Amino acid sequence: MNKDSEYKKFQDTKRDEGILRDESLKEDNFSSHEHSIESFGREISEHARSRDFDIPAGYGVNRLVVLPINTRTEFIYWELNEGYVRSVYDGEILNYTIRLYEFVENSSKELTRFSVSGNIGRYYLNYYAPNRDIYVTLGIVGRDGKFIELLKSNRVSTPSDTISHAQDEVWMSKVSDWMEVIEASLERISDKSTSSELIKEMEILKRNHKLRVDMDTKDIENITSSEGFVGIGSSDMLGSSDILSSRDLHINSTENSNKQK
Amino acid sequence: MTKGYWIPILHSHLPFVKHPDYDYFMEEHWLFEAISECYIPLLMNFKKLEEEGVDFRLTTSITPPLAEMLSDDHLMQKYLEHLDRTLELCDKEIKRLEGEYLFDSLTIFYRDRFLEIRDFFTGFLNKNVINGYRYFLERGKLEVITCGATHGFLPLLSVNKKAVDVQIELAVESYKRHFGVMPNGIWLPECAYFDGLDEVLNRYGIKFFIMDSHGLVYGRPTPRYGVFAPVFSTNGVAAFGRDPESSRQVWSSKVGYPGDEDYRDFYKDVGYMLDYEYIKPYIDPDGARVFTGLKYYRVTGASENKEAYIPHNAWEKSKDHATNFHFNREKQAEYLSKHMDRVPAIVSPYDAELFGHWWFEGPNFLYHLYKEMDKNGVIKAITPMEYLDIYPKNQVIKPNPSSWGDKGYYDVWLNSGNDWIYRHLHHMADSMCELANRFKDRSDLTNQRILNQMCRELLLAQSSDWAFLMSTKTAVEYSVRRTKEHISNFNKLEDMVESEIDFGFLEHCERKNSIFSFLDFRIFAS
Repeated sequence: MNKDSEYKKFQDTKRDEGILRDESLKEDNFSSHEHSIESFGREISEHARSRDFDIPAGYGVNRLVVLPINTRTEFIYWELNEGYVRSVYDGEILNYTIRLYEFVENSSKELTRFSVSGNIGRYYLNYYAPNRDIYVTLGIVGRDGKFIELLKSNRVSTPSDTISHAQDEVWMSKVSDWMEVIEASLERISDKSTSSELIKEMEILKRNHKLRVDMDTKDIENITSSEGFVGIGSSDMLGSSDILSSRDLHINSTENSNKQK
Repeated sequence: MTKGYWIPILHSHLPFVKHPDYDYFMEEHWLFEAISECYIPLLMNFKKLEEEGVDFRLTTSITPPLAEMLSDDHLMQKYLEHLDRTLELCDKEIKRLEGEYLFDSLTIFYRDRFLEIRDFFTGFLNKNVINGYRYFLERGKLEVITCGATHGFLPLLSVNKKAVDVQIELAVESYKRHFGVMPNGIWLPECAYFDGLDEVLNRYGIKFFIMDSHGLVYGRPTPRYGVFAPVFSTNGVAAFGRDPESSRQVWSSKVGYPGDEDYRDFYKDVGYMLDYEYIKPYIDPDGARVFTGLKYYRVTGASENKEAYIPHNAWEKSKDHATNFHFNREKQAEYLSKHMDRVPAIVSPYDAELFGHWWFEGPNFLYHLYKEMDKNGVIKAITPMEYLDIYPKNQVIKPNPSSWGDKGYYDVWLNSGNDWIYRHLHHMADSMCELANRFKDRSDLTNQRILNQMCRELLLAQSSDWAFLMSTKTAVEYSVRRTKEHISNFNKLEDMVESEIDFGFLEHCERKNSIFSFLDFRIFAS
């Protein structure tokens, strides 16, 4: 295939992808947002036999939790045991500081910080942080101005609200006895970020499930035209063996297949 | 020639409600309504299709709490009593409306319908609704899938990873007990996904799950076929994305089928309309009015003046709508095929109870639709597993954290109206793990009973239904009370571990919140 026809094919593929994407995200004014439990719930009246139940405000523990609500809002709650705080810091505490961090490549980058008060509390943080790994810490700014960390939260991945512009594709095949053989194919990969991320995860999968992975990364092509577009395969990506044979990624599972039986 | 594969998916779920101490309990009524209006009418139509030699496929979740209730002898006996009361009301209505134009035939329609439902329940189903699902599962017509053990909103429970593991492990175990085989797929509660959930699903042998559209399209990388083909997550679990167009056609508040003027009006039920003394034996004994299932009016229009419901017209309209839906799927598949090098999959997930309960004619619509597909052979209804058999090779992406709730993320289940619950759910899960590890090798039977019941209380508190109802302000007090009840029970039970035991309280909890009789607290141990 010469470069011109390859370029045309690429353009066709991109156009098709755009159309399918638009069809996938049509505004539907539906819901899913309408749940059947709601229609049942409308029937509820409060019963004479109803009674209230006491639950504690807190549990006397030290805990800090962050939960993503959407791409723009994070919910944070905490509980601090007074004894623990005093064991760390004996000065006057007017408020606490919460710091939001993004976790990047084994290091952390602070995104924002803010003050909160109370040993038991909650906070809605409006910080646009799509598609990231985040966590928060809670601490005190001491007399010397230094931050004393009291609690560190769980780490969570936030959702995305945009189309990924990565051009690369990884394909996986599951045949025969479903998990018996997994086979993936890598095609001409340009911006390796997403693929390398996927491949890294599949390597983890390999370790966890004792899969055999044969992958020669030299076979991952990187084609960038003078026009700046990135070439990817289209129909041949679905399994033209002559093209894929040298770069196929074979993962054979035995353990999983046993688990299925 | 097949132009498109249609993958219809119904999510069948009700929260666990069982009140053995009462002859009548309002929330048990939910279950009885759903059985009479949704589950049995669907199963009766499937039987009809089978007898007529019409091929069909449907994927449906039966959530573990629903499966537990549908096969619970106590609840099924109560359902039978409920049916008999309804038939008694039908007889009274036949006399009351004798000679009333249109309404007299409607009373006969309802009497015959409830008699048919009763016969189907006591005969074909042998007083266990699960038997019907099992029957079609075994014949390859239904792909019954599981759901989180108590419909917990997994992303918000995942602070304690074991809590998520238990929701999935128990779901699989419950499914095996009810259906005798492993589930192929799962309906994630509220279609809620978080990064890493696919690893848990894979670990428990789940092969596919369902997401809302943006769960796939905002995945990384964006899938080439959008939602019109499944993808594999990096852990090799297939994800199917919701098609917005077919959703809109059925459920749009403006143009959706259920709003048609010939269809039955949802609200005008004799339980709310008739004289109190007359209707008293058929509503809540406390006096609260409820739906009886006898509704005599059609949607008619936007005004409050409703006209009589005419079942024949509604039947014909459901046939028209099935033809229309089929036509649109055909056109949609033709359009999509131009941009794909495979036959597109059109995935249509809906809440099951909206078929029949909310949209009375929904089960008939499905019946006509399957007949239309069988006749034309252009659009073929299949299951997710069948699609994966046809196309085993699919793109690998990292699905996007999302849900099918309003705004598409976690907003409905976490906001200022319900955020207080998570502090308790997380702490309870931590305590359960700690206790499970501490007591896993001990053989004190009483402590085991307490710990098992603590698991049940935790699991029932985790149900996403309560947070949902708090958000929508539909049954706030009830939902708050249900959540607090389970938290309070859990704490009281925890106080009894290796301490003074209130056997009366323990037995009360065991009897009332009796879900998962097979449950062993060690499931929380590491």
